[in-house]
Amino acid sequence: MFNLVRAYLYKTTKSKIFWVLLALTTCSAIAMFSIAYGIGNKSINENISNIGFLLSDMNMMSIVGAVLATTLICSDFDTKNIHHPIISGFARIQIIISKAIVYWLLLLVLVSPYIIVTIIGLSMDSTFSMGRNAAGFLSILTLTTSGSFGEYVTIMITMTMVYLAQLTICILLAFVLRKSVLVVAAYYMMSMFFGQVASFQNSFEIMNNILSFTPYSVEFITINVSMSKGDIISAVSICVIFIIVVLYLTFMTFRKAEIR
Amino acid sequence: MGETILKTNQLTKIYKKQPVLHDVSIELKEGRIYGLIGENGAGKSTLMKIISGISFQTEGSFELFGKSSDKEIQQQRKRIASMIEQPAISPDMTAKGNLKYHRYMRGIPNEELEDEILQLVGLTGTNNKKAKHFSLGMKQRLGIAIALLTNPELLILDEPVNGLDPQGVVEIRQLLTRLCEERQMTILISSHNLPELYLTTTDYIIIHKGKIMKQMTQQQLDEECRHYIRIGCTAPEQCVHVLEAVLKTQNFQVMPNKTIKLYDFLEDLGDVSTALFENGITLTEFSLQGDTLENYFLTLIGGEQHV
Repeated sequence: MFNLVRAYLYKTTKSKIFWVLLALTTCSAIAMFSIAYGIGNKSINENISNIGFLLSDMNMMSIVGAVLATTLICSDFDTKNIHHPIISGFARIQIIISKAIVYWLLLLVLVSPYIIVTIIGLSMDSTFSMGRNAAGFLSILTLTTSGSFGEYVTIMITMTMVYLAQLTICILLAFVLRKSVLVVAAYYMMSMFFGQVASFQNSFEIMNNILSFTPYSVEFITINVSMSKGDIISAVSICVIFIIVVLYLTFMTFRKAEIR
Repeated sequence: MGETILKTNQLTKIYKKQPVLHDVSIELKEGRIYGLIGENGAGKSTLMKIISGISFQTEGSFELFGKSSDKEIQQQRKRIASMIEQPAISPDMTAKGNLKYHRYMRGIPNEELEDEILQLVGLTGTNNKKAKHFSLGMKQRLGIAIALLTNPELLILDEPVNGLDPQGVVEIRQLLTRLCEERQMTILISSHNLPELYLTTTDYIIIHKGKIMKQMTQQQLDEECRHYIRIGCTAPEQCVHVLEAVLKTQNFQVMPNKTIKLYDFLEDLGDVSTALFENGITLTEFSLQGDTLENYFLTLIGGEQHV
């Protein structure tokens, strides 16, 4: 399986799309940071916070993560490259796990600009704000008042884990839908839906119960240092279980799937 | 005959309630080149896909290198390579980049192999040109290069000469023949170019509407397609006497319908007709007959008795 991971990493990093996505997240992270800094220091009007939120990791990763899944998985169906590992004697579960490992590694790279600006922001003695809008790393940046280095690292790892778990659903979508446009559209609609549902989560007990068992719960997308250790462990556990369930579903749909 | 590489037992594939393959039983032996012949939609690609693991049979089973369980077959697939329907290449990478990707996937450490294989298929000098800018023929060559990277024991090629220029077709033919002879590689190849296939293969598998119509060696085909003079006359017994007594030959066959197949004097039709005429035999039919692979195939799938 190491060979597969190495091959997929090689192929995806040779793709222009991956580097465009990285440039996109880097520019967006810098813009988000600058806007949050400007609003926090009242040098920028708070009305611009909607644009700042649009460029935040929460929104960008929904698009970037789906596009990355299409580059990594759907393109193999388009070019019939998916034939090769099967003919080479790899089990279909090995193909799925290898794709997932490469997907997570590359997502880490893509989300890293947001991690970096958050670390820079937390190390500065400044106030950051995005008005009432905050989620993901932006919420860590704007809602964190004080904390130890260890707490910062813990919540950032947890936040990254939440992203990986949320976006793992793109692997399932890519193996099922196989067409790039469908995957991007489906995931974007899903993320919009979960975003809207999360905002009403506390008003409906059933919805609250359902979402609290997924990484789309509002508690997990607004992580900050005020969270208890128990909440962090619960978030990580739910993310791990969610990933396992999604990968299992992916395997069940792909194990006997016909490939054209 | 060498070791059995592949043996299928009544493979049946039903796709969307339509039978695509029906009770397909074939056997491939080591070191031979098998031509899989059939019309579009006959089931050639489906059969190749099932062997390669990218599709599944509805019924039946097969053995690959003597192994028959799913897990064992999956392991044995490391010994095969295939190119099915179209070359599966990464369009945004160069020829060398494509080979490197597949070398990593197969865990082959030898980097020099990339240049060797490119030379083997005639793709040296493509340098930084991306595969998406290749001609169809170049893509076919790259597809074959990828398939050859692991030096497979069974090579499955679906329409490998599609899009190649005449010189390219000859080169690929020579390459496949050499691989078969030098490395004892078994090759299963489908093509619509039957004259070309005749020059490449050692065996034929004819498939029609998902059923195997015939599996035969080239020797058997030649025998079936042997050229002869077809003689029809009012007095076959007398005709036989003339052939034996006057033309001094016994190399003929009297068919159930009383026509005679004469396998001698193919270049001297005049001598035969003169001898028969001078001995008072009235001819009702006199012609040179014999099939090409193409005619043989058409006759076979047409459901008519081969003559």
